[in-house]
Amino acid sequence: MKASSAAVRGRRGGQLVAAVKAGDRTAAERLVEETYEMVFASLVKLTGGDRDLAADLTQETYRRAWQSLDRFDGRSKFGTWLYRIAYNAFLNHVRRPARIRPFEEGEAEAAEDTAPDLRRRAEERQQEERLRRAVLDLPEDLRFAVTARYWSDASATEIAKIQGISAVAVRKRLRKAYAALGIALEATP
Amino acid sequence: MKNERDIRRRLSKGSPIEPPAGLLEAIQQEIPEETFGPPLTALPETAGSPRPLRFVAAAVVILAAGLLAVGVARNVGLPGGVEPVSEVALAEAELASTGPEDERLRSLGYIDAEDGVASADRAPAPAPRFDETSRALRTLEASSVREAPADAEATEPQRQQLADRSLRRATPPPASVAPREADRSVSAQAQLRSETSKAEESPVSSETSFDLDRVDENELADEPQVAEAIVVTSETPVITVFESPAPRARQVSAEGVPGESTPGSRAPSAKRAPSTPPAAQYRASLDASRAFTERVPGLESIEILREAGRFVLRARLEPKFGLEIEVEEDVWRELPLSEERLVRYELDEGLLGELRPGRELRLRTMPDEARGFGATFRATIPSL
Repeated sequence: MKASSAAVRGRRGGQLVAAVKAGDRTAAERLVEETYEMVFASLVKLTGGDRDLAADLTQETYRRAWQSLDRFDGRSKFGTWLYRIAYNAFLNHVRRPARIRPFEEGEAEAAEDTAPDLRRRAEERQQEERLRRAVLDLPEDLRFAVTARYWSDASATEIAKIQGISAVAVRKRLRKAYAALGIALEATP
Repeated sequence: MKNERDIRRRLSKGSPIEPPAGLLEAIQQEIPEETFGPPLTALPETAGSPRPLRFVAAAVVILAAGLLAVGVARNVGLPGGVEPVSEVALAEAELASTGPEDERLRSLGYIDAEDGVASADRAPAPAPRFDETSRALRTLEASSVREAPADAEATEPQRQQLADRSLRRATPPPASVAPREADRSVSAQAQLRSETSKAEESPVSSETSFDLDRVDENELADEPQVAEAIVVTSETPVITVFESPAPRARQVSAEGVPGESTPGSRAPSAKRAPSTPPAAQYRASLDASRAFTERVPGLESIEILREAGRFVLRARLEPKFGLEIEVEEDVWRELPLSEERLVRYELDEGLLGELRPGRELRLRTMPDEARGFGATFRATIPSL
């Protein structure tokens, strides 16, 4: 017996997951609908703007999520849990040497823009790219905290739950990350 | 250096990213059917008709009433009630039923060693486990069986004794009565467990069942000295945690003793704990850790040392196997392996998260060849 879409609407992630486990396909579709934009956007940032790759990884993220849905215990929000999987999917991808995308590609495209507004946009994109690279160069624990906080919009408390540490520790990590990013961006022109 | 606020602003900034058309549908189409739990099926046809339900309910009520009436009749002694079976007759039946088969069941723990009655509320003997504690428990159970009277060869006085005992059983004991003799072996097991846990809490204990006297310290020249060993057993595989006196060794060095001790080297013997032979303890702990690792393919032994306040994982692997640790969900890191098949890996709190007591680490043995058979296992960090 499936719950109607109307009944599913308005439920929170945990309730939707419970509905999925009870055999409700509509709830699963609703979960995807509510979260896939965040997952895709964060993966676009992680991959340096490679939308095709981000789309592939987004699908991969959901494949893994369905496989391990039983392990979702509701301690954190479903979105944060999903971001953790997306982040791992990205890490697993970049650890395969043949598939590492050359980061310079985006910059090369941007440099070709010559019109004033386009130049400004190109500069912004370059800055974004520098920041993105600096974030990806952070140590693992700091990197996850920063990307989860700003690219998946998770709160420090949520990150703490998914990492199994205290919220205070997450804030400390974020502060350390800001300092490291400041130094890194200062060093690059 | 750019200030924190600027960094945060830049991190928060970003143009909205629209997902490509068709991505949502593609993901939704890929949702596998096995994701969903058992589907909620319609109730059987009978559910639609009240008649069968009514019949079942009536039958249950009648049955319950009948049982109640029989019970009341037995207690009150009304004529027509079922005659309660004599306790003496039961005891006689027990004696008659005692045979080789009972002996076998008793040795397996399915029959109580004391009175031979199959006990429904007593769990059967625990499944054999590869640890010393279980072995000791089994030994204890065996000895309690040996101490029990041989019911099969009961003489007339023994029969009388049994009859008396059954009469005593018919009278409810006072609240302060001592535990039944039949529970003695269970209590002894609990006591042994208690003693074992005490031994686990205590660095050196005479109750430790390992043979500590035969340890040759020269054998352990390359091993770190151990001041404390804690062994915790659970359903999951267990890591043995050692407390290394490395900080103390360094302190000695800072005070002017040449040759600073590093993890893995020997600490000056003069500075060891007075009644603590570290080498002996180390051997005992090795034995304990080996007990469970026998079950993990490719893994010979594993342990966590605590050196200078940091946890260090040490493992020995069988040929053609490697060891990996899960640093994040489904992200595994291969641990460096020496030519001697040894792993020495300092657990990194930054990478693995907080290393607190009770924290479970996921590890797996990986065969060099893809066709080999490795295994994923969990290891719990016990409290020190």
